[in-house]
Amino acid sequence: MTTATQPEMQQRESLKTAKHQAWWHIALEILLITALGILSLEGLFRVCGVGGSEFLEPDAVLGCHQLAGKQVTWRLEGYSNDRLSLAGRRDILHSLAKPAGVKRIAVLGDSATEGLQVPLTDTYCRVLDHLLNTNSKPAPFEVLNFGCSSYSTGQQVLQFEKDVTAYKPDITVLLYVRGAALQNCYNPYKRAAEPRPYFYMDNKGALQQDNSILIEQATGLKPHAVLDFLRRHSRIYGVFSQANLALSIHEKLYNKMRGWTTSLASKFQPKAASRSTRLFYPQQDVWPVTKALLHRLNKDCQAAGSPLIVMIFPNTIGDPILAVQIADLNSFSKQEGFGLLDLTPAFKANKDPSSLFLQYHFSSAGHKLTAEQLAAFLAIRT
Amino acid sequence: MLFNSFTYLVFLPVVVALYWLLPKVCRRGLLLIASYIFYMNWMPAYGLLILTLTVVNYLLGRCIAAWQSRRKLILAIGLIFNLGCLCFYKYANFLIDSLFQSSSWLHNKLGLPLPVPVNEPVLNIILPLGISFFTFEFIHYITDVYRGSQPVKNFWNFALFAAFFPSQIAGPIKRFQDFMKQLLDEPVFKKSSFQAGLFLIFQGLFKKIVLGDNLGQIVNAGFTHLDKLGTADAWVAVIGFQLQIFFDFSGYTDIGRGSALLFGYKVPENFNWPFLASNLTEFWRRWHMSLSTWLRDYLFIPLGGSRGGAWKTMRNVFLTMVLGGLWHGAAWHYVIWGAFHGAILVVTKEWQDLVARVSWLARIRPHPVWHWGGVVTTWFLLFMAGILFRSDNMPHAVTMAAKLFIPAHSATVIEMFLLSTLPVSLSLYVVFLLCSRWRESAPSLQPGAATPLLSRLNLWCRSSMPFQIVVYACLSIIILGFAPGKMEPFIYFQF
Repeated sequence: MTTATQPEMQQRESLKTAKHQAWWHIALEILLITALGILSLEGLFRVCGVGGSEFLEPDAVLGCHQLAGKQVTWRLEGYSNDRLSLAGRRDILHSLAKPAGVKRIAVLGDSATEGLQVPLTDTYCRVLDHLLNTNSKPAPFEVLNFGCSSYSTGQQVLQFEKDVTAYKPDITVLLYVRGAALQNCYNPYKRAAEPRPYFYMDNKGALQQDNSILIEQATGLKPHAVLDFLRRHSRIYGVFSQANLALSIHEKLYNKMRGWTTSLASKFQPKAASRSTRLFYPQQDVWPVTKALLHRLNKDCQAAGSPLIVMIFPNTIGDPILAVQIADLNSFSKQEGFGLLDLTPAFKANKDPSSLFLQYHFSSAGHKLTAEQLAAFLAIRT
Repeated sequence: MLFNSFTYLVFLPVVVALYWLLPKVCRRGLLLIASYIFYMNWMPAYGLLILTLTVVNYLLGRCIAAWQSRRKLILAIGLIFNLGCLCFYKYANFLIDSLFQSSSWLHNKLGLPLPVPVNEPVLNIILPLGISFFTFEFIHYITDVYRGSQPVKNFWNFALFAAFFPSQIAGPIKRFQDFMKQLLDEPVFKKSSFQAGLFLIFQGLFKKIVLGDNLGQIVNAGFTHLDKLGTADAWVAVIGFQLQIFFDFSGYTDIGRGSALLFGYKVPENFNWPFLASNLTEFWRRWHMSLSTWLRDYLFIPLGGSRGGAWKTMRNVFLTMVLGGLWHGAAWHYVIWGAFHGAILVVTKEWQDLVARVSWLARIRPHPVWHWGGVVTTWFLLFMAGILFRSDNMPHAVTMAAKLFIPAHSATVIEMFLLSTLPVSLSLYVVFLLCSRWRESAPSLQPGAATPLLSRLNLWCRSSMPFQIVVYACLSIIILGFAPGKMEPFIYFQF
C-alpha cells in the first residue's frame, strides 16, 4: 500500500470538504458563478460587437417591426454597425411633416432594401438620396427607406397603408423579391407558420387577409417587459436569436426538431386555444395573390397621389419562375399603369456581376448600381 | 456529417449516452453502426465502398499471415488494390486532364499527329470523403502484417478500426496495434477522460468555428479578388491562410480526439506547437504528425531512407514530399508545394550539417536569436508554400506571390480583418494558451504550494461542478456568438 504525500492529503481533504458543502453554499456558488458568467459574456460581446443583430420586435398588425433607435451590429452576411432611426427604420430620421418644396420617395421592400449587410450610407436608398440631391440646395428630394427584413409583399402593402401614407410620399417604390412574395400565403395544414398577416383569394376571386396566425400567436406578440428588455439590451439574447436564424436557414434537422417541438407543445395546450382560430382554405397559388396585392397597392398609391414604381430584384441566376413573373409583370404594369424597372439587364451587363452580391443580398456595389438605375428611371419618368 | 454541424451536435450525445448505457457486449456494435451512419449521412452509396475496402483488406491481412511464402505477392496485390482505389477516385480526372493538356500541347505546338478529342473528357466521380486517410490506414495494416504483426482475427473489430467515426474523415491516421489494444482492453468510463474529451471538443469547436471559419472569410476575400489587393492585404491573406488551415485542421483533430475520448478511446495527436519549430524538419515533426510518421514508415523508409548515402537520402526526402504533396490534392500546384517542401528539407539538412562542421557557427547556434531567427524564417517559408497550397492554379499563385513584394496601396482585407471579431478572438486564444502553459508548469498552482490562494483556486476550478458547467455554457455561447453566418466544411475533407 502506498502512503500519500502531504500535498496529496491536502488535496483529498479539500475534495472531501467540497463534497460535504451545505445546500445553500452550493446554491450561492451556482448563483455567483452564473452571474459572473453572464456579466463577463455581456461585456465581451459588447466589446467585440457580437450579439447586436437583434433588431425586430413583435407587432400585432404587421407581425414585426424594427426596434426604434437600436444600435445594430450585423455580421451574418456582410458587415454594418449603425443605429436604426428613432422612427424604427434603417434610415436617417425624417420628420413626419413633409418640408415645403421637397419631393418624397418612399421605398418599400424586405431585407434587400433594408440593407443591413452594408453600412447605412451604402444602402441604395441613401445612395439614391445622394444622387438626386447632388448640386441642389436645399435638397429637393428625400428618400425614405421602409424596407424591413422578412416582410412579405402583403406586409409591405399593409405597411404602406398603416405608416407610409402619413409621410405623404410623392413617389412610392417597391422592390419586388420573389422570396418575399412566397411569404404572402401559407399552407394552413402546416404545423408552424411565422406570425404575420397572410393573404388568399376567396371563391369569388377577391383578395382576403388571413390574420388567424397573428391571432393564434397573439400571446407571443404582446409586449413582455422581460423579453423587451432583453431584446433591446442583452447581447446574449441577441446571440441566441442570431443562432436561431442561422440554424433555421442552414440546418434541416434543426427545423425538423423545431417542428416536432411545436407539435409536441401544441398537444399540451388546451384544445380550445390550439389552432381554433385558423382559417382553412385551399392551398394558394402565390402569384395571383401577389398580383392582387400589387393591384391593391397601386390603388392605394393612386389615392395617396404617389405613383407606384415596382422594381424587380435582378434575376442573375436565371430563375425560370421569376422570368415568367417578370414577363407577366410587364403586361400587368401596363394594364395597371404603374412603372416597372427590371434590374436584371443592368446587373447582367456589369463587368463583374459577382461583386454586386454578398451571399443573398446586394453588396455596396450592388446597392450603388440599384440606386443609379432607379435614379435614371426616375429622371425619365419625371 | 460534419463535426461542426447541428446534426453532429445531436448525434454525438445520443451515441455517447447509448454507448455507456448499453451492456459491454453491445458497445462495439453500436460504435460500428454509428460510424456507418456518420459516413453514409453524406452519401449512402459510399458506405458500400468503405465496407468493400474493409472486407478486402481484412482478407488480405489474413492471407498474408496464413501464406508466408507468398506474402510479398499478396502485399503487392493489396497495395495495388488500395492505391488503385485511391487513384481512381482521386486522381483519374487529374491524369486524364494532364494527358489531354500534354497531348493538346504536342499536337498544337509541335504538330504531332495525335488523336486529341475536341472536348476534354471528364469522368463523373465524386471523391469519397476521407478516402486518402482510410486508404493509408489499410496500407499501414497490410504492410505491418507483412512485416510480422499479428493480423486482426475478428472482422467486426477490424471494421470498427476502419470506420471509427471520430477519425474516419480526416484522421489522425491510426495505427491498428494501438487501436486494437484499446478495443480488446474494453474501455471503462473514467470521469477524467470524459472531462478531457469534452474540453477537447470545445477547444476544437472554438478553433474551427471562431478562428478558422472567420479567418477563412478574410482569406477568401484576399485570394478571390487578387486585382484589388494591396501589399499589406496580401500579407494578411497569406498569413491568415496559414493560421486558418492550422485552426481548421487542429480544430477537427481536437473534436475527433475529444469524441473518441468520450467513448474511452485515444487516437494519436496530430499537432505539437508547429509554429514554434525553428526549421522545416522540426515543423514536420510537429505538424500533421500522424501523416508525417506514416510517410516516414511506409514511403521514406521503403524508398531506402537514409541508408544509401547523402545523395540517396536527399532523393528520398524529396520524393517523399512530392508524393505527400500529391496526396493532398490532384493538382499540379500541390505537387509543386510538395517539391518546395522537399527542396527546403534537403537544404535544411545540408545547412545543419554545415553548421555542425563550422566551429564559429556551432558556437552561436545555442543563442536565442539563432533559434528565433529560425522560427521566423520557417514562418516565411510556410507562408510562401501556403500560397501554392491555397491558390487555384500556378498563375494564381505567382500573382499572389508578386502581390506580397510589389508595393500597392489598398486595405480592403485589413479593414475586413479589423472589423471582424478576430482581433479579440485571436487575443483570447493566445491568452488561453499562455494561461494553460502557465497552469501546467507554475509551482504556485501545485497542491501544497507556497502561495495557497492560487493553489486553492486552481483546485476549486478543477473540482467545482457548477464552475465547470458555467464555463462550458459560456464557451458554447461564445462559439455561437462568434460563429460566422454559415458553417464551412473542414479544409482537409477535400483530401
